[in-house]
Amino acid sequence: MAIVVESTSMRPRSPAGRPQYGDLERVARARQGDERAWAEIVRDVGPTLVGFARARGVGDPEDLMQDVLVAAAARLGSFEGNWRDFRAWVFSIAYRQVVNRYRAPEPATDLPEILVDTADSPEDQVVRSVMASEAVQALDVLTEVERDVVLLRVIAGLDTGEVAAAVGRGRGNVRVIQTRALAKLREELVRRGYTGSDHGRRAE
Amino acid sequence: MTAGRQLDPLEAWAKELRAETVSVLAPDRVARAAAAAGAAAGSLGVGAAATVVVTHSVAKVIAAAALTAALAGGAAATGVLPDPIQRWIADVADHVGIHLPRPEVELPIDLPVPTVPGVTVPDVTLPSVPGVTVPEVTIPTVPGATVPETTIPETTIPQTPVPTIPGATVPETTIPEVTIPTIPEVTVPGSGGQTP
Repeated sequence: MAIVVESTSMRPRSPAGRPQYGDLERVARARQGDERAWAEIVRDVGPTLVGFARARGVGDPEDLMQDVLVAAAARLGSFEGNWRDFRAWVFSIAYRQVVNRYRAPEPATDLPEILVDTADSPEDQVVRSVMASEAVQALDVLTEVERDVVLLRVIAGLDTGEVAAAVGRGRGNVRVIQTRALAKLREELVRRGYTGSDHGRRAE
Repeated sequence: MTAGRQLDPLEAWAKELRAETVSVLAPDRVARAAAAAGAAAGSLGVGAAATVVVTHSVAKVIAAAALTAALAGGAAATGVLPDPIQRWIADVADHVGIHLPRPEVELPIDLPVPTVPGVTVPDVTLPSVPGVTVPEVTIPTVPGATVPETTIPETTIPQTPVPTIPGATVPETTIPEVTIPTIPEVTVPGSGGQTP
């Protein structure tokens, strides 16, 4: 089985939103702090970064996206490669940030009862609705590393080698994890009644 | 909509997952993230670093030329160059182990020390308590406090002539014997009752 990962570019195609820079020039200009170049990068990589974070259960996916891009900006001096390498590199930063967020949760701050807002923020509501979706729930059958490998393949569109570099494992190891994860997912989807209709909706 | 092609469950799932989690970002969110990333790249001077490298290379050439010229003329060695140039050349020469005189650094700092008006340190007389040793107390200096100098005006005692009274005699005065009383035995606490 092969998952066909489409182009992850979310770049607007309208003349007004057409990228101003070529891929290499964009990175070079981003290195110099050019905001227009960064805006193109955010438009291109941002949505998939947010998607990755959202599917991974991060509560503030857009904040994470910004943190990742700021971290990438800070280390851009050490980056070498083409645009594809850049995307893979950014996702390796995203992977580490997601892992770190789960490893070291922020300490809870005790607020006086009167100040505690018990209502869901709009962001929480969106996250909850996504988490409640079947597609995301299906990921529950996977271990953490299996989930990361699958999401970096499916959402970020990285190839096996890029995923291996991002998660700091060998290519063969990642291939094994991926095969095992996809088998588990398939079993789960079949159990839930996914029949593979055009839009991925469950057949009634 | 065309008739649904039968997709592999995993392929269908991947499409649905992407559709649910990946979406175009709002323009203001893009702008904010771009500004933050641009600032992070700019603040680290990644772009500026290249300029610095180029500038630094140019500076090296100029420094080398200036150093050569200065050394050749002995100007730097005698310290006759203008201060900033002398200091700069001395710094450069230090890197290759040549020590040249440096101009004195003048600190253009003139800080007035404020005076604290009305601060007087009173004289304290400690009563003597037998058997108690009073440790020496050092009175700390109060920074900025000034003790005004007090001048006691000179007092002249007018000379008064004693008039001579005719026929008067001054009787001889005998000073009575003074007896010094005996000092009683003093016992020092903790000394076992021995007389010191």
